[in-house]
Amino acid sequence: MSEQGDRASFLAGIRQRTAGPVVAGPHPRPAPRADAPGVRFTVLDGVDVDDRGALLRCFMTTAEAATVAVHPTPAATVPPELLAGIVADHGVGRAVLSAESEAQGCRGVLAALGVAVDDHDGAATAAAADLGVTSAVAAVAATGSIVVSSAAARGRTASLLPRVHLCVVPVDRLVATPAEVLRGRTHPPSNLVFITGPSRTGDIEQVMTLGVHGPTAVHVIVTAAPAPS
Amino acid sequence: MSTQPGEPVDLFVTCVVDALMPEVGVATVKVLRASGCAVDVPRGQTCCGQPAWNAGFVDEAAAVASTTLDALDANPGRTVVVPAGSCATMIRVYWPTLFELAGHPDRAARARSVGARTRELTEHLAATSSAAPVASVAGAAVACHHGCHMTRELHLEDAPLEVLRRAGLPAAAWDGERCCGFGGTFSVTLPEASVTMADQKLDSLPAGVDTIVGADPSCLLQLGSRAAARGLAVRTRHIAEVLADALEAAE
Amino acid sequence: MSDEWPLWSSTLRARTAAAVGDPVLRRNVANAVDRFAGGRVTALAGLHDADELRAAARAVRADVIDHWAEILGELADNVMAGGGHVCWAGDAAEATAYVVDVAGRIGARNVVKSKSMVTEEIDLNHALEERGCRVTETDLGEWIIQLAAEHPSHILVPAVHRDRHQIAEVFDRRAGRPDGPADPEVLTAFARGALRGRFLEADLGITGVNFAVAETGSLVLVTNEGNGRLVSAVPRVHIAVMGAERVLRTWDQLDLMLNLLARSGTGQPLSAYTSITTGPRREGEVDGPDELHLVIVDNGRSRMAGTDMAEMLNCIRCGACLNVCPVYRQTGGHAYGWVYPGPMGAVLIPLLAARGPDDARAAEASSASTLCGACMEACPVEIPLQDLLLGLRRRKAANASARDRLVWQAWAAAWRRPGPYRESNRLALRSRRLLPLVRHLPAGRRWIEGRTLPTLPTRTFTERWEAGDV
Repeated sequence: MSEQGDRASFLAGIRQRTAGPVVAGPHPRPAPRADAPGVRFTVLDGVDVDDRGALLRCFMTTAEAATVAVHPTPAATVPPELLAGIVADHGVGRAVLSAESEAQGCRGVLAALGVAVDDHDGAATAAAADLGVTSAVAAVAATGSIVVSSAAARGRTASLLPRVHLCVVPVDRLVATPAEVLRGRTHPPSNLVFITGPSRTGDIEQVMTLGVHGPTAVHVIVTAAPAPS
Repeated sequence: MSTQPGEPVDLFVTCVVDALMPEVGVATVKVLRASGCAVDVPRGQTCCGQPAWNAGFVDEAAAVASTTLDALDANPGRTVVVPAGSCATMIRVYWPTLFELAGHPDRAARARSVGARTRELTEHLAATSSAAPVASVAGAAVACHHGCHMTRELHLEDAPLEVLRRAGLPAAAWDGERCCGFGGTFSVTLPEASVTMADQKLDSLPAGVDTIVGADPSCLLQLGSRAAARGLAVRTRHIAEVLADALEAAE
Repeated sequence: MSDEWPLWSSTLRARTAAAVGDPVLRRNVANAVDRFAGGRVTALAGLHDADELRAAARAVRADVIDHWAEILGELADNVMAGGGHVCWAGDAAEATAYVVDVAGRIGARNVVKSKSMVTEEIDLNHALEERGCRVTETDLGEWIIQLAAEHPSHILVPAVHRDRHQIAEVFDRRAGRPDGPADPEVLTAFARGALRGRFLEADLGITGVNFAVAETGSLVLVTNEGNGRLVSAVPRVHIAVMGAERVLRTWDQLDLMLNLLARSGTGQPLSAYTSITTGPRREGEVDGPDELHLVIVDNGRSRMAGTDMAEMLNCIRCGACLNVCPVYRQTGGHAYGWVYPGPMGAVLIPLLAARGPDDARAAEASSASTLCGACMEACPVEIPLQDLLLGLRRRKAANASARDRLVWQAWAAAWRRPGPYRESNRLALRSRRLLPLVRHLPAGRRWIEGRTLPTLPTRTFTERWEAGDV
């Protein structure tokens, strides 16, 4: 792991700028603080965050606002008819599965639907697929986001290159806020991504268009929590 | 601090009003007297120094501001009323910094105490409430322009609207907060942008509005002079003038 | 690029005048900023005590900058511990040299980039192209302006100055689009198809960095299109170029900043993709770069520390100030003449683009403001932009020409004494017939153009008061 350039002089240049006597203007700087206060969201007002059902309902609201289709199911695995609907709606002929068990668990149903299924083994495979299936390490109710980890998925592009992204996540991975994913994280994976809806742009006359470089559609199937083993 | 109705107030008339819109000063005096205040105009006042301050010329701004500081300091404890939001802001918000930067901490301290008793006109009227005239001024459909300093530094958006309401002149809903484009030297440094910004305001007026009222003479000058150049059927009036009219109508 | 940046062959006034004379530009810019500004209000209403969070964010950034050297050192150590390479780039030349060097070493021919203002600052594309690389901007707006050989005019929506027809024209003429409607969806689909291949065949991906978290050596990229993720995941080598101040100490601080960033800039609770990268691909992972480089760029930033300009280092480049600025709304970004437009540009141009303390063109930018304060109100880290602008004007005044200084000195000499003040006003009114002569003074001409002054009064207020007529 290399280091180039002159760290010492770069940092010395910063260090030696001691704060001179600066006249406080009418909007003076507050006392600096290293601790960051927690953020509270109005969308969680009145939501019992310990009640999974309530958290799920909140997640469905915020995810829908971000153009994510959420399909809750009381089943522990993905119901075939749910998957069939997604495959039919989007004309899926080819799918790529990332490494999580929840994603792998879709193989049988997809194959039975006549979809060609590949394991995610690189960008080329993902690019060739219409549908990318991953799980998530968390689903965030306050923002409608799913959080995908490259450690769990063993890669990054299954949720990115295909035009449809399906995320299968058990309901016990629902959390209330981004803080629960972010704070205190000491050993992050090589990539952790908060996905809040499909790829989008307003670059052309502010008209919101989906599916610029990433998926055009995002589906989240929320299954029952796995039985304790 | 609150002023009791009937207490005398000092008027800082401001350079723009003094030279270009004296009728605003006259109206201000009339309105203050009607609210029960005796009005004094401390001799020796000139300008608050804002033009030079905004252009970055500290010493020059401080020299002029000092003169006005001395004048307004003549009656310690007395409320100073200013018919211009940007000048009231200069005194209350920027004078301490101005004098510190110019190397006069003693004047900065005096400025703080003068600032503490300085009120923009509608701020003063809204606070000393009951004496505000209540009368209908028929015919005028008004929209209220809120000067940037007054809104963002003095947080006085409500006072002008309240004062207008009491005068029987509720203001039409308008995005009155966007900058008029004057910006002091901005209007001569980037005149095309300045004029375009005035146009944006004028073009966004609700239909039927024929009068823009405001508490900042410079903003009114900017919008009024542009409206005149375009031949628009809208005029600008200072809130003091509108209130003085209401008083006359009630007489 | 068609025009060298900074656009110093023209004056601020000339560029501004040209911009306000372009109704298509003004309509497009107004639509964009009004939408974003409205979105911001709604999105921040989704947070409790948003103003307290902004104040806290200001204090947190202040703490980071107070410990800037230490935190950067920690960042570099952790990036390297995680398998990444670090380059300390004091200036643009050092930064571009490093990137070009890496590109050369890996034999890169095709480079893909996601939007990064600091790479525009250092003119990185130019340096890579000179070495024979094909560089493709992959952010849709950036690709459009790259094809059109223009500069970005808004940091979030770089092609905001172009409407759908103008964009279709660029695609038709410069990207080989087959004939088709100028419909945003159709145009976007074309871009998706055209650029997909570039991502997959690229040897090198270059991104910016929204935040770097020192405690784990993590790099955060906030985007909506997905191009940032592709650029940092597909090519074998990823270089992240970062303005040195874009650092945070902890993930806790990141949580606060992320919740303010998208809400303030675009009105979204979070952007579509908030991607946090820590090191290159790991054993067993099927994609991700083999090599990760972080280029830490100073380029004038450190000069701001410890001065009255230091709080500009708080900036998280969210764009909120652009979206509320009444001047920017009428002029768009090109008028400012450099990478950063709007209020952030008015402050950064004199500080980062100046070629010396006497660079008048760079100093001009602080005049592109009416000091209305809307930017300060919108800034999620409460940068006192108005105070900074006044401070820059003071620096400019200190370098003022003798003639400019004389004007203000004469004004002060007259108006610091009550007698001459009253006399000068009285005389001005008496010489009302000479008013038309004002046209012949430069400032007078500029005031009068487009405005019709009211009839001058006959007496000043002071005269009337002293005559007992009030």
